[in-house]
Amino acid sequence: MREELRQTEVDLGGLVSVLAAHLYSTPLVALRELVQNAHDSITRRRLEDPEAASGRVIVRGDAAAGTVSVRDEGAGLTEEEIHAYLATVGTGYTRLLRDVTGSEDLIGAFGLGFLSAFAVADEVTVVTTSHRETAAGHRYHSVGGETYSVVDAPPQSPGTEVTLRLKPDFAYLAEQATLREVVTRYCALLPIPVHIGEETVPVNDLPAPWRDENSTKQSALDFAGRFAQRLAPLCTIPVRPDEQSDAVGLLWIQDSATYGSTDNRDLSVCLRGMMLSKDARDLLPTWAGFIGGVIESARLTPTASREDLQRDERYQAVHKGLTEAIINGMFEIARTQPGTWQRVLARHGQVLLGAALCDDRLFELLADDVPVPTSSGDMTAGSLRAAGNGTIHVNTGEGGGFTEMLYRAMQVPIARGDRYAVLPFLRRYGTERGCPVIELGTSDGDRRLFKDTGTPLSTADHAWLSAVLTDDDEQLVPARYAPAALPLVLVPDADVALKRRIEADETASRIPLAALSLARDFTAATDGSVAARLYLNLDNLAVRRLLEARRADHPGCTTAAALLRSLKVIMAATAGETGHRGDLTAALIGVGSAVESLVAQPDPAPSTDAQETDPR
Amino acid sequence: MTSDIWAWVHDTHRELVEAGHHRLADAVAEISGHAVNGRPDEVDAIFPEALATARALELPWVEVFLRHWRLQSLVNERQQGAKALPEATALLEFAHREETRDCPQSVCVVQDFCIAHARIDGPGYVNERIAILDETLGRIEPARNCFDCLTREYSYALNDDGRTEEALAYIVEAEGRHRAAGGDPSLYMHIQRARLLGQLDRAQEGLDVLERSEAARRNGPYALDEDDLRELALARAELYARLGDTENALAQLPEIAEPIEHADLRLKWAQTAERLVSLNALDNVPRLGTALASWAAYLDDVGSHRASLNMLLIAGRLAVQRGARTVAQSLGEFAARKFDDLRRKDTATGRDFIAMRRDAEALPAPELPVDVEHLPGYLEALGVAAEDGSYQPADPERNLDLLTVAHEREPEDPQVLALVAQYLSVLGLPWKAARILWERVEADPGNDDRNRLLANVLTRGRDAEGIARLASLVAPRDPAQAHWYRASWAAEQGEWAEAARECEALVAVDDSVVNARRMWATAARELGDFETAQRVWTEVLERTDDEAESPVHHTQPADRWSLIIAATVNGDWAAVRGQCAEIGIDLDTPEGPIDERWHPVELRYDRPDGRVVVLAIRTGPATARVESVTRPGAPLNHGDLVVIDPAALEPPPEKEEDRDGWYPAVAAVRLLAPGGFRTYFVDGAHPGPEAFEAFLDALREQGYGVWLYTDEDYQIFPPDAEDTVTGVYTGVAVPPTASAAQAHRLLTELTKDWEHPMSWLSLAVDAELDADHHAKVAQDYDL
Repeated sequence: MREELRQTEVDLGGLVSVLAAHLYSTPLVALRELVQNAHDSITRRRLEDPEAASGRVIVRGDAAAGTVSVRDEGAGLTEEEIHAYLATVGTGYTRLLRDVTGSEDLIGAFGLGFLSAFAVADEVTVVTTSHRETAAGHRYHSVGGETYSVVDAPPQSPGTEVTLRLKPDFAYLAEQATLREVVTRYCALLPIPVHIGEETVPVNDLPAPWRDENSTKQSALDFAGRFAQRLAPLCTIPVRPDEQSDAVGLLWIQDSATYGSTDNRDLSVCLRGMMLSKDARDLLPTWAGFIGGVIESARLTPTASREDLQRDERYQAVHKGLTEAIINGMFEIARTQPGTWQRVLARHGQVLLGAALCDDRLFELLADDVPVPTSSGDMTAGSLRAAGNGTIHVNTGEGGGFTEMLYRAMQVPIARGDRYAVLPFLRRYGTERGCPVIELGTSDGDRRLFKDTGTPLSTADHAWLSAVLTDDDEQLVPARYAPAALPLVLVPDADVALKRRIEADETASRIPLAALSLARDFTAATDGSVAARLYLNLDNLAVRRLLEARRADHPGCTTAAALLRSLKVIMAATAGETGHRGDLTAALIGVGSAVESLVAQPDPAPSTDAQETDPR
Repeated sequence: MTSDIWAWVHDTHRELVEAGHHRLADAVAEISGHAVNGRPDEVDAIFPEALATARALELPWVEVFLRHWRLQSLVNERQQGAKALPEATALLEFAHREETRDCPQSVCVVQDFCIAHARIDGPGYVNERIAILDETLGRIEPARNCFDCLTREYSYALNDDGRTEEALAYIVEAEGRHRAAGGDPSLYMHIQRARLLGQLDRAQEGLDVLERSEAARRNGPYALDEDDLRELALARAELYARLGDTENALAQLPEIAEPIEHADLRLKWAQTAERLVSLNALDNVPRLGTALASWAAYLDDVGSHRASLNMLLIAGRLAVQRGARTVAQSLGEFAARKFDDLRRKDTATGRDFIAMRRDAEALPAPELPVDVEHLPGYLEALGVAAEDGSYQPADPERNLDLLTVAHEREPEDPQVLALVAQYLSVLGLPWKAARILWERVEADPGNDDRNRLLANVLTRGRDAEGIARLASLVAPRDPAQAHWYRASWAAEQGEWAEAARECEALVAVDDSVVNARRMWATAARELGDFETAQRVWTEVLERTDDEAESPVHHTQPADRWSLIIAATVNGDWAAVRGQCAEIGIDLDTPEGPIDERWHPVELRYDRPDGRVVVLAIRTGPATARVESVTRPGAPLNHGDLVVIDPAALEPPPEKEEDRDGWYPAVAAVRLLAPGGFRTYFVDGAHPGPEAFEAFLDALREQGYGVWLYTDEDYQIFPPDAEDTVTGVYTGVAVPPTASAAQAHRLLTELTKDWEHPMSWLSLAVDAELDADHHAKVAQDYDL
């Protein structure tokens, strides 16, 4: 037996830290590299010895001992090969073999694979017997990787077993669950069976649906379920090559619910048989936060780290191809699997609302089906429109308390414009479906909500109503609006409020002077005389009667007006308008006085019923 | 100033996550990326909710942060000037209150305010911008990221003032200071430097700067994003064009789709395109002109006056080169308006504007090749048919020039005027079409054709104020017409109550009208007022006939069908039968309700709680009875009689083979009579096709409804079985005449010989029979 300590032919200490810190985004890659070496070893044996049995890979973890081993029934190594290929960076055996044989079935590329083991292990042992020298076994051993020894070992059936004694930080790799997760993911597409420990069923026994002529929706879903692991799939979408993109594979819509801008995109990319460790989610469109998948491509170019992709034209082509696949796939699901589609909508409604904004076809697909959050729960835009008598009402959250007040009174469902994507979605829905969308609390919304009366009040009526109903800085605006039961609404003017704040003396000490003077230039253009508008509803019975009483010089009209005025102040106070206008106590006292005066003088007017039949 | 903004974002994100505010945390993490990478829709999508949450949680710093990034999206990506100023001012005030003034992002808010002014009129606000930036830069250290943004802004301001050398020197020095303090100058700093070098005839040096900057970024930790790549390509195109290297310039110039999508690329893109046109490398086609004109209108709309003017000058010069007289002169007119909006008029822009207008006015008027009255026919003969068969003018701008001359000669010719308006709209100048029409209409509001033309242009331009103005102008002489304009506008907006009111008023003024009644009845139906709808459709039919020559007075099929639908809702079967006789529909019975068996339809019913789609059998001209068995609580169920609008919602599939199993989709108008069926589900192992068919037939015979919910994909595990077996999940609609106990006994009887027991737990519970057994089956089979 010879034992001789040799120097690895590079500065491994430096290299390993480079490997660990930069080249590989995750130490799990070390496992992948070993499995790939095992795969290549079996492939080599098949090339060199077509008579040999097909061969498999066995990955074992021993959590107690802190070791992981990878055994293959492949070609094995001679002692020369150990020195040449295990211990020298850059002369990876696979590369050599590929150059000689031209075989595309080999995965390794840079000759770094084996050494990456030292990124996670203190100590590496390789026991191997070459199929060309079946009588000689060898045992490679290295602590730290900088020096190693090779000794004779009892010959075994041809093949190699690499055992890693993990560094304490990476001991978790030996856990069965971790091992299964990592190996399942990295080996899903390998043609050679990979087993965990003594398990008889290999982790990669499910054929990739796109390689399997007999694949069904169910088998694709099973494959996706195995692959996706934590984010289980709800349904699948096939990826097929097109003119620009060679990507082939499987995408799936995840079953776990998403909200708003959730981004659970998860895409594994397999380049020439090697699964990139880094998630290539950016290959999926940003709106597809509910999509997982795995694709194969020969055209995508890896970066130097081999763990990411270069953002070149081919990348863009695949990105486009995947986007098309998702959109077409969703159309197909909606058309052929209505139950599944309902579930997709329920699971991902909010994300889809955003997605609909990013692509015209998606908008077409989703516009009528996707649920929109409203004050009465989730509804489709069409239902919202129907419930609003043909108009969609959206609360933008900008109107302050008065909007709340108004929409409680309106008793129609109001879309939650303060929720993800709702406002832009409904705006677009309105434009494309020719449906009015009223944004409560915006000046445009106010204009559309408070309709022009068509026939203006006489100057005398207007002046009298202003005098009895408005306070300083308020402007009376006669209008018609629903609900008719609401007599008046007071809407503060945001521009005037801003003008007052910007022009206030104490602001000068806070805002830098140059900016402040420009800001004051701007607010100077705002007419500050109207701080709030009082929209008086001419469809309201009380308002109509008040006007009639006034025209008939009815003695009770001043009392009635005072009652409305009190109502205005009370409503503004309840609506919680910041710095609400008017004196609440005075208004409440006003109600008392009005009641007192009504009770004191019997009303000489005819009964309400009689008034209702009045053709006016 | 406190710590760096990104450190604050990082901490805030973590705190929000820890406090369970995941959605707000996500918004904080994402909004800046959306804002700077040209995704305005996504900014708008997440902003309102995030803002509302920040306010509810009383997190003023987060509010400043969110509003700042949205404002960035408005003033940068969307190039808003005056339009963004109210928010920029409001945020400036908010970000300097006691509770917000120490927020690191408050500095950026000052910059947003500054940028909004740069958009309105960069050179016009140079002094103010520099004063603001001086003030702000005095408050921050060169190491901060803001230093990069603020010094760039400073350099833009100097350049806007015509001090290009100074702007370059400034940015070079700033970059040095930023770097010396440990900062990493942004790509945009280098793009600005490269552009300034280009302006100073040192384009090659500019290209070198970009090369180095890009290489550094490619090797660095942050990948270039799409926005970076677009900006880089555009800057390179500009520099190559300056060098006269048209090949590289064209290769770099983004496709026109990019500036169409991203407003912030447009002006630079247009400037480069103009340069490439002058180098004969790009075709100066009318379509390019139309794009530039619409971009200028956009910038006008968002109050970016200076940029709008610059865009108009480019569009105008290109139009002059094409000899497009009317277009060039209209652009000149538009430019004059924008020039008036400028705060500062003594820059080179002023001279350029005068030159452009002069050149446009100098374009000679073309000779008319034929008389005015023959011109429309002559132009049509010159046109070519497009692929879809539509008419395409050979040279729209030349046609417009000829039409304009014809219009000046014969201002009253309605056909010429209509064509002028149409061509102007198509060429991106709808405002000019409206203006020409307004001039004529205001001078003489008595020409109905012209008024209608104007109403069309205003409606297309969604000009609500214009419509209101037109209506009041017309009202004194022709109140009916005024009502019609208002009604049409309201209907166009889907405001049916308004449309109905206007139509009613119109009918009161002129009882002979037909189309106004059609609109009124349509509005009434939309409002659910079928009595009015039926009355008005009846009036329509009284005023039309099948022989009439004018299309208005010719009875249209929709008139009769609409009446049928309304009368069906109202239960007026005599009226329904009357119309069926007119149309030629043979009915089985001579009077009373119509309840026949016609053909299956896919019924779509929009309800406040969602859309329901069911299969139904049409039972008459406007009725259908639901066949599907739906879940308990669904708004429609088996046996319900529904009023439908029989117009198919979708055309039949094109291919013959796809029509198998296809039924026409129709809209449900309302539920006429509920069938009173109750749904229960029967679940369990499939008994085999024969037994199952017999089961279904027996139920149907007893007047029950059945609906199969599953196919062979539905697999269940019988207890102790090795493998799954196919399951079956069936909806059974129990008729109102049968009690739960009767239904239960019937099912028990029908399934008693099956290999596996079935489960119908909710029915068993309602029947108060065998509930335990059914619960156990469900459990054993994991149903």
